[in-house]
This record gives sequence, structure tokens and C-alpha cells, in this order.
Amino acid sequence: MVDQLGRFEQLLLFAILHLGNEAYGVTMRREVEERTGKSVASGAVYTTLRRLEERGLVSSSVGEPTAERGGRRKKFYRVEPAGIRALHESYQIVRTMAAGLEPSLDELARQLDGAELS
Amino acid sequence: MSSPRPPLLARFIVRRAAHPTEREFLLGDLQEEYGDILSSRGHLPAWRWYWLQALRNIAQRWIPARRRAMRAPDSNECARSHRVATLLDAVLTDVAFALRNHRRRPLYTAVTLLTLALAVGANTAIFSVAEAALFRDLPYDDADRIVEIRPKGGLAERTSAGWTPSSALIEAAGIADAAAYVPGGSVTLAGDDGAQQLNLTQVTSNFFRVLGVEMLRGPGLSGDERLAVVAHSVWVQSFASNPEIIGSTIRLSGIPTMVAAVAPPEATFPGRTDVWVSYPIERSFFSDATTYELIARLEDGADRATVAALLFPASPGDHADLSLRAQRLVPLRDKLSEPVRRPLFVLIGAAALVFVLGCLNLAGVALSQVLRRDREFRIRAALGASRGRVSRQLLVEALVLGAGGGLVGLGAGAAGIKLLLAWLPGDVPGLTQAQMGARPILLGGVLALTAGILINAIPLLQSGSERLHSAAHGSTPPRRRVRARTVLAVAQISAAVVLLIAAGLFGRSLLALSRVPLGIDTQSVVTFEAQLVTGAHNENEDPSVYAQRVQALRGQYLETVTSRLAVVPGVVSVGAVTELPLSTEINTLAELRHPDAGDERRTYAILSEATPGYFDAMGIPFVSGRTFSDETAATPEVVLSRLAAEELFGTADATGNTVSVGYPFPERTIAVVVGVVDDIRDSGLESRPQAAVYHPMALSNDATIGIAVRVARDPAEIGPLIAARLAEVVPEVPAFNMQTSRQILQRQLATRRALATVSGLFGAAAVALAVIGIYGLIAESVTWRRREMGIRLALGARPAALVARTAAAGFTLALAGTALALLIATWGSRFLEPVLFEVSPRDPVVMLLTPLLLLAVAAVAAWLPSRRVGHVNPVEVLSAE
Repeated sequence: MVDQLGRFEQLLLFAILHLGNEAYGVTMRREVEERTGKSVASGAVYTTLRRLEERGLVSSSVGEPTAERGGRRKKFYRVEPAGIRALHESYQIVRTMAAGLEPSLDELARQLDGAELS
Repeated sequence: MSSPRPPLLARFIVRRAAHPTEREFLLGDLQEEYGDILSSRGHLPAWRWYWLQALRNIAQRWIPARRRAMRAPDSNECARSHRVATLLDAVLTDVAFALRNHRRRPLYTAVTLLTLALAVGANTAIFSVAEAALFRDLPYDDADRIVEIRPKGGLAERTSAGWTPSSALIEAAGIADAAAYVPGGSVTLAGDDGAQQLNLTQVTSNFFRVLGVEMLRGPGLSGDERLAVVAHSVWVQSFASNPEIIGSTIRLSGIPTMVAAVAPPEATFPGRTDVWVSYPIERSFFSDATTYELIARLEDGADRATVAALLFPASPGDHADLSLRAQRLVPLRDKLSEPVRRPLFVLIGAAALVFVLGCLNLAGVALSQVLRRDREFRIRAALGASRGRVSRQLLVEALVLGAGGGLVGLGAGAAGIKLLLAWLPGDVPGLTQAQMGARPILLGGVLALTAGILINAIPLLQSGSERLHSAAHGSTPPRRRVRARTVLAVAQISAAVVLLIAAGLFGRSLLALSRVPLGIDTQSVVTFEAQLVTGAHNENEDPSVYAQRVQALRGQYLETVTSRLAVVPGVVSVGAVTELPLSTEINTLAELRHPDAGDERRTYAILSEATPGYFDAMGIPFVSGRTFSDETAATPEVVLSRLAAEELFGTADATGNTVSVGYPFPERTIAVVVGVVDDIRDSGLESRPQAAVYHPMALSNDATIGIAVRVARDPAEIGPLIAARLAEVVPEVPAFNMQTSRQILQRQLATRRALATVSGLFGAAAVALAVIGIYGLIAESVTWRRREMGIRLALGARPAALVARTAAAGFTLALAGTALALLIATWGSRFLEPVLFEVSPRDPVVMLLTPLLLLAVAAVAAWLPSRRVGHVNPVEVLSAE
């Protein structure tokens, strides 16, 4: 059994995969915010990435300093093979459990929303 | 390209909250996004976003640190982070909304901020100064046990009535130790870069023990030797902090004196002493002489009143009241702050009144805002906002205003301290250290918060009595609110009138005092002091030889100074005296007798030794007779002051009489009165003139000289010229305390001027606030009653009559407020009596003019907005229905 992943950890790993070579703090935070609609603190991003890096699931490299960052450098992240395996497994668990339920789950949620509105 | 700078404090928070390895990247990320939001959505959203991120970083890093450590890695960072964000966001939204709201009502916001700034500024400034002068502990060990012993009354009484506690009594009475000192001396210290004048205090060797001051370096005073203690500032400036100074010998006015110690920086008592010199004073000293001050350290647990009762046993005809006798033992701190104590307490009271008035004003303005925003609240209530939600919004708005006003107020307070210090007499220790410290800031914060909550509370109480969502169609204000505003306006006006009356009384006191003649020319005289370098007067030397040496030195000095200053353009004449009027030195009293009447016709007079030209130079007019003719006449000559002449001869025209002079002359001398001059208020403008006797200076052996230079130009301009010339011709004798006689007078008026100025400023501010209050009230009632006025006009009312009626309503409030104020003032002004000078606390001029002034201003303030009533167009109003 590979590492278990928390939900925020999964979100970040997905974000890195979406972003490819452009995965650093700002883009990752925006990716999660835009896709989930939930606000995310930059500090939380780094705390979680640190933990993922310690477990060997992601790796990082430091870029060049830029002016719009006040002369500070970016830290780019990429997902390691172990990370891909862990993410795949976590997602697989959800997918397996949800198999066949997706349409009716959507329908149920819609019905609840309708009840609240009326 | 320069990148935008995020808010400094928030950036600091991020830096502190970030993990060190990620700090750079996190800060970089935030700045990048800040820049993006700034360019796309503007300053406020970017600012808000950055702050939100900063605060969430705190929550992220510090709050759950322990919990996180104990939890499985499978934490739900996202959800928690989101919860914190929601709460913070709600608060920030309220704050941002409040800021926007305030921006939208600039007049209201400006008035509120100014009022708060004034109220907080006035209070913090005065409190800072009062704290430094009145409440701060003296820098001495157990300072509350140090007292000054005040024998009966003034100097003359001390000598005549005689206060003779034996040393045994001092020891028995619960006094641990008592020391004597003679303040106000000065010596010349010769150094490598010219001579320098130092303030000298002669002390008994136990002086610092009584004060409880540990020496910074060196063993300190002891025994009967003549030793010196050097003040810290002198040690640093004149001796380059050289530790070798201890045990070395310095020359004070030519007299070699061994330095026994360097005093710590906080020790400057009395006054601003530069060097303390010990001289052997027997315990018998305490029962002798007239020219020293006494301090004592009470034994632990000794009660001041009890000690006083033991030291000053009630004698027949004396006040038996114990508390009166206790006043002869004055805590040192009270003695030091004496000159400013009363004025400061009065100003604290005035500032408190300004605060109350400010709050009344704020409450009134806030109430009007609630009236104005009634519609907004009703709509919000109709949309489902709870009362709690609306209240929270009001609270946040009030707190934002309170915080803003508090900050501006602290700034104003810091500036106010500088003003106060410039106005108050400068010789109160600790006063110069007044600053916006922790306690004044705390006070300012509490005041601003109180005001903020008050702004909020009144509207809330008001809205509490009526449902916010009540019928949304009424256009007249609820009666209760109008009544509340009316009460506020009346209270405001009466507070303003009370403050104005106080200011008026202080102004009249200043006027009365400035009319008191000081006894010298206060326009065109420059004075300075000098200390001759005489060398030691050792005990083996014949006193007359020493006197001759001093006299020769002085003759030489005066001749040089007189002849060289005469060529300075604008100098008219030069005169000299041993002690200049109103100088800090303690006067020598001479005992005078009527030659035929023995002890019965006896008086004590301040002895001054002067040159013949002194009276003319100083501008002391002759009542009769002339000045000394020949300074070495066969029969000694004296000049009496009017009081001395009247006391001895029953008339001011005493020229030609003879007088018998005892102490301090070695033997009783008969002298001819060659002239009588006007009295000088030598103890200050507010005290009675004192009898004085002038003796030719040529015979004196006093090494200190006061010089008066009469000038025909602006003394302030010519002073520097005189100083430059003196430095050139007599470099070895520095001139010090150079001042114009106008400055001497100004110093006498300083405290009263400060009191009158500050209370006048407060009064003006109070009137401004009250006027704004009346104006606002009438303006609002005009707005609310447009419809009613329209109908009245349609029914045929004359516009002028309507305007008059509306204005009269405002004027009636002013009348009521003024009447109330007069009642309060008639009762309360008696408390001001101790700080008034020759003005009755119920001075009719002030009591009459002040209300009239306010009524006139109030009439204008009520009339201006009332004019709008006349312009109401009935057709427009009625068709709007």
C-alpha cells in the first residue's frame, strides 16, 4: 500500500500535473482556487508541498529572480513517480467507490438545491 | 521596472510566519499576485487580499501548530483554512464597508475625526505633561520619604519669628537624617577652551545620603573637607567622561577643590545644579542663618503630620490645626512641581470637559447619521438583515472611526506636548522629559475607544426603541430622536460656555497680572551675571585683605566692561548690583533700625549692593533723593525702597534721615538715607513687594556681580552684540544668564499665559463644536420638515416668518444651554479661585460677555440653515406626494 493522501494534497498534486513546467506557488494556488472555487492560503500551499517533498512525492527546483517578485526567485515543483502512484491510488479509491453513482448523485444534489430555493 | 510594494506591516507578518526555507518563495508569490490584483482591480482589493493572506498565514502557522503535530498527516488543511478565511473575510468586509461608508460621507467623517483628534489630543498632551511633572517618581531611593522642611512663612518671618529646632529635636522627631543646602550659586570653571559658568549648590556632606542618590563614580562627600561632586552632564561635556577626575583638583572661581564623585545623570537637584560643594555645617547650622533650605528623610513608617507636630509645637496665637503644621513638611515631589501643579490640574479638568463635549458632539452627529440612514437600515431590514448584523456594522464603523481619530489624536497630542512645554515655565524638573509614553497612549486608546463605543451606543439605543423595519413611508423623524438631539445640543452649549467662562477668567487674570508693575524697566534693559575669579579665601587670610582683593578685581572688571560696552551702538548706561531682581539666588536680609526707636522700629530688608548708576540702568525710579554720591564717603550712604522707608519712618520721603544697619554687617553702622526708590516685586509678580536696602557696591566682598545695561535699541538685538564684546574684552570672566528685562517679565507671566492660552484654545474649540451642533440640528430639522413648510407656505404663511420661527428654535436651545452654564459657573467657578489673580470667580464682565458672545454666534449658526425654509417651493413639495 502506497502513502495515503489528504484531500488538499491530492488537489495540489492534480494542480502540478495540470500546470506542467509552470507549477509554482502562484499558479498552483490559482489553479486550485479556480477549479474548486475555494479560497486557498499561500502559506498552506507551501506547508503541504514541504510535507509532500519530505515524503518524496514531489521534487522542486529554484528559478531565476524576477522584478515583479521584488527580486525573489520562484520555486518550481514536479510530481515524482511515487507521487503519481499515490495520487492514482487515492483517486482510484474514490472512483471505485463512486462507480455507477455519479448520475444519481448529481440528480440528488440538484433536487436538494431545488428544495432550498423554493 | 519597479515592483509595487505590498503593505509593510502585513509583509512583516508574512515574513515572520513563513517557514525559513520557504520565506523567499512565499513572499515572492504574494508580491507577484499583489501586483497582478493591483493592476487589474485597484489598490483597495489588492491591499485587502494581501492582508487576508497575511492573517491566514498566522492562523496557518501559529494557531494549530500543536494540534497539527498530534494529528495524522491526513489533515484537512483546505477546510480549516477556509473556515478561518470566512471569519477573517467577514470582519475585513465590515471594515472595508465601513471605510467606504466613511469615504462617502467626507464631511461627517472629517468632523468626527477632528473632534476625536481634538479630544484625544488635548487629553493625552496634558496628561503626558502632568505625568512627567506631577506623578512620575523622583529618581531617588524611597523618594516619598524625602520632605522639605519649611519653617514659618517667608524669609523675614523665619528670621524674626525664629525657628530654632535643636538637633536633638530633629533626631527625636522621626527624621532619619536632615541636610541643608544653599542653591543658586555660581562658579567659574576655567578649562582648556575658555572659562565656563557652572551652577553651584553648597551642601552639607550628608546631602546625597538624604536624597538617597548613589554616586556614579567616586566615594562621595564626607567629613568636614571642602569637596566637589560634579554633575554627569558636566563630567561628560567638560571632562570628556574622564574617570581620572576623581581625586583630582579643579579650580572653581580660582578656588582649588578636590572632586570626590561624579553624580548619576538623574541627579540635578536643586534646579539644574552642575556642581555641589560641601562645606562643614555644624548641626547648629540648622538653628542659624536665613539663607539655606532644609530637606529631610523621614524614618520608615514615620507620619508626616506627626513629625510636623513634633517639630513645630503649637504656640499661642499659632494655628493649632495639625494639617496646617503638616504643610511645613512638604514632600519633595510636591515642592518641585509646585509652580505648575494648580495650572496642570485645571488644564486636566478643562481637557476632560473638552472630551465630554467632543463625545456630546459625536453622539449628536452620529444620531443625525442614523436619522439620515434610516432608509438604508429599513431597506436592509426588509432584505432580511438581522438587528445584530446592522448593529455589528455600526459598531465596526464606530470603531474604525475611533481608531482613526485616536491615531490622529495621538499625533496631535505629541505636537501639543511641545506647545505646552514651550508655554509652561521651564524650571520644573521632569517636565522636559514629558513625552507620549505608554500611559498617555493607553489613555488615548481608552478615550478613543470610549468615544467610539459611545458614537455607536446612542444610535443603537435609539434604534432599539423602535423597530428598524417599521413603516418605510414616514418622512418625519421620530420624536424621541429629536428630543435626544435637543438635549445633546443644550448640553454642548452649556459645556462650551463653561469652558469659555473659565478661559475668560484666566485671560482676565493674565491681564490683571500684566498690569502689575514689576518695579523695573521691562522694555529696554539687558542683564547678565558674572563671577569674578578671586582665588581661595583661606582661613589664615585677613578678611579685609580678601575684601580688598575682590574690590580691586571688581573695580577693574566694571571699569573695563563699562568703558568697552559704552562704544557698542545702542548702549546707554551700565550699572551693577550683587543680586539682580528676580534671580534665583536666595536674598540676604539686612536688619534695619530707626536710630532713635531701638527694637520697636525694626524691619528686615533685602540687601543689595549696587553701583551709583544701577538705578538708572535698571530703570528703578527715585521717589525722593538721589543715588550714592561718592562710594567712599565718610558717612556710609544707603538707598531705601519705599516700603522700607515707610516701615521705618512712616513716610516714603525719608531722604536725609539716618538708619542703623545691623546684620549682616560685622558691626552696627549708622548710614544716611540719600534716596528712596520704588519697590521691586523681587519674589515674583504675584507676591507683594519686599522692603529693600541698597548699599554701595564698592564696599562689598561678594564675588558675584549682576550687570544691567540700559539700551536704546531692541534689547533682543543688542544682547548678542554685548555678549560678543564681553567675550572679547574679559574672556576669563564669562557672562551668563544673559536676558532682557522683557524676558524676566515674560517668565513671570508664563504660567498664567499658558493657562489662558490653552484654556482659550479649548474654549474656542468648544464653541466651534457647539456651533456645528446647532447648525447641524437646524439644518436637519429643515430637511425633515420640508413637507410641512411646503404646506404652510401653500396655506399662505410668510416665508420670512417661517425662517424666523425656525431660527428661533435654535436660538432657544442656545439660551437654555447658556442659562444652564451660568448656573454651573456661578456654583463651580469658586474652585478656580486659587488659580485666579485679582479677578473674582464671578467676574461680571466675563459672566456677561461670554454668554453674549456665544448667543451671538449661536444666532448666526441657527439663522444660516433656517434661510432654506424660505426657499421651499410648495408646488414642488406637494406634487412629490
